[in-house]
Amino acid sequence: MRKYITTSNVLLILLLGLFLYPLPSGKIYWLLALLAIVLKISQLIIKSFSSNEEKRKSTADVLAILYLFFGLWHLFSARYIILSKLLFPEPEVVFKMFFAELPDLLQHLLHTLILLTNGYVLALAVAIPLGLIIGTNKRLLNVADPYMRVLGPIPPIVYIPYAISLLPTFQLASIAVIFLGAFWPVFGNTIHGVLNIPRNLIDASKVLNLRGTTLFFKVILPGAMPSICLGANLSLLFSFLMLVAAELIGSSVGVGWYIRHFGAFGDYPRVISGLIFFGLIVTIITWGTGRIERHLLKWTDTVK
Amino acid sequence: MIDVLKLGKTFPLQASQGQAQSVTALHDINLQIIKGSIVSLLGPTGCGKSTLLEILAGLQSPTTGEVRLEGLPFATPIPTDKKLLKAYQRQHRFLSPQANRLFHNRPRHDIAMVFQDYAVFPWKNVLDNVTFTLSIVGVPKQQSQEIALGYLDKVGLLSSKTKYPSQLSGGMKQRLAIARALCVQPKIMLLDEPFASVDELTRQQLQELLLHIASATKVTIVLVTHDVAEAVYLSDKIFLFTPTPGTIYKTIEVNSPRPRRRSDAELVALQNQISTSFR
Repeated sequence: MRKYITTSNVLLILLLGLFLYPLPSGKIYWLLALLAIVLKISQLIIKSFSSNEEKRKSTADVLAILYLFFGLWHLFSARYIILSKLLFPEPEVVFKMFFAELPDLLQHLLHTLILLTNGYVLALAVAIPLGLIIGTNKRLLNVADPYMRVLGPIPPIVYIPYAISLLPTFQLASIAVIFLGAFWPVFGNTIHGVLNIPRNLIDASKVLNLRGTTLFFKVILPGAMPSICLGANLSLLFSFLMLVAAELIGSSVGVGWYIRHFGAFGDYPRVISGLIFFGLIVTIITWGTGRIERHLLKWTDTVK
Repeated sequence: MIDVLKLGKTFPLQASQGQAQSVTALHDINLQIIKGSIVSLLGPTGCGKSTLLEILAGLQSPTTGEVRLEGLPFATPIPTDKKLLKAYQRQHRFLSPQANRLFHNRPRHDIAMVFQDYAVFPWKNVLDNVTFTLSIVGVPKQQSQEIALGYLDKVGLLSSKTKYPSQLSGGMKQRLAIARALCVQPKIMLLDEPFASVDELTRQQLQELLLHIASATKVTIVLVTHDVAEAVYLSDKIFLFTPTPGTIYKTIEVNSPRPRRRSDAELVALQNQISTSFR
């Protein structure tokens, strides 16, 4: 019996009480109660799939904080209206809006994802091979170094206005800007990774008579992989940043545009829906890249 | 048979005043290593013994003198003259002219090296580290699996064949490095302070393993070490080095028969003799 009395379970019961106890007007929040239960079920599913004992415990705590947040939000915006109605719409309104707007949001997402994958994948496809080649060639490295020092630190956001005027379509401009934002972190880290391959591994490869493409693909690429992954993660974050910045400035579609557009009209339920949606999408993408990274780096002792 | 003739190595060094200086790591080294023997290069750190081993491995080229392998020139100085250097580079287009020279016109992989810090590929698991090495020599996949398992069995790593090096202890990594070096059936095995970073008990185990391999395969073993007891216990011949510049100061033959005992009075006396000669 004892093991069921956890923080998240107690909060769930309190929350259900809060949602199901009718308002003076007789209104009962069936939908929110359902949401709370769905969250609990998904936590149980995640818990049963995770192998790590510590992680299993933390899922409940994560959920507890989410419940607390929902409870307070509901309490002060629906039951006791302390917060401004305009800036803090009720959870239920946002929740309904989220599902009503989902088809629209997905359509905007498509545009956003096209920009993101084009810019990001292009950056990876150019930066990683270039970094590997430059990292293994001393002369090229000396040439590239000053350019990296000058061009690398320029915040890519400053390119946006010029890129929009320079390139014929907004799509091209955003891809270019995302490319610029994502390129430097992964490029720099790839070179760094190549230079940091332990000397003894290179020596060992030489004694094994490795050279040319075998040396390149079997030693240098995997040796630089931890650093490349680090750079790719950084680049992904930069891409999100550049993407939204570009959409906020010059687009007429996309999730970033959606948030800015409805923000300008003071339609905050839509804005919050957009924020939640964007958060979910980013989580899914980073979860996916995390899986890829874990697979690529399964040999290191830091990734479990 | 390895012949080292009047070998010298100087490293260029940029002095703080902008004047180019150089450090002599090896000076006038002459030695001969007989086929199938175990030889130790013994000396304090910084006496150039590792440099000599790297020259033997083809990782560096000498500045003067040469190394002959079975009478054939094996390592020679890189020309300093610009024209000669160009011709030399044309001849050796690959990443490292030394590595290229090493396997030029001779059967490949007759030299294997074991490094002090293991240098096994951390992104390959134990089995793959060995099969990868075999694949470089051109052993077909099916066969290489079998051969690799055989060598892993020999060094006692069969039970952890799917582990990654990061999950292995230092001694196990060194066993893997030895298996990797052995699997191509080298004629010469170079070991650069191979047991310096493992604990005493593991070190003794690995030494026994090495002796077992040496007697079973008749491979020539060149061992760099700073451990007097290790050198005396393992070697047929010990070359004592002194630092700055690295020269051979004394050659000692160890004639006591095998298998030896570590506590053998003759060996202990020899150890003491070597230790005092360094003082």
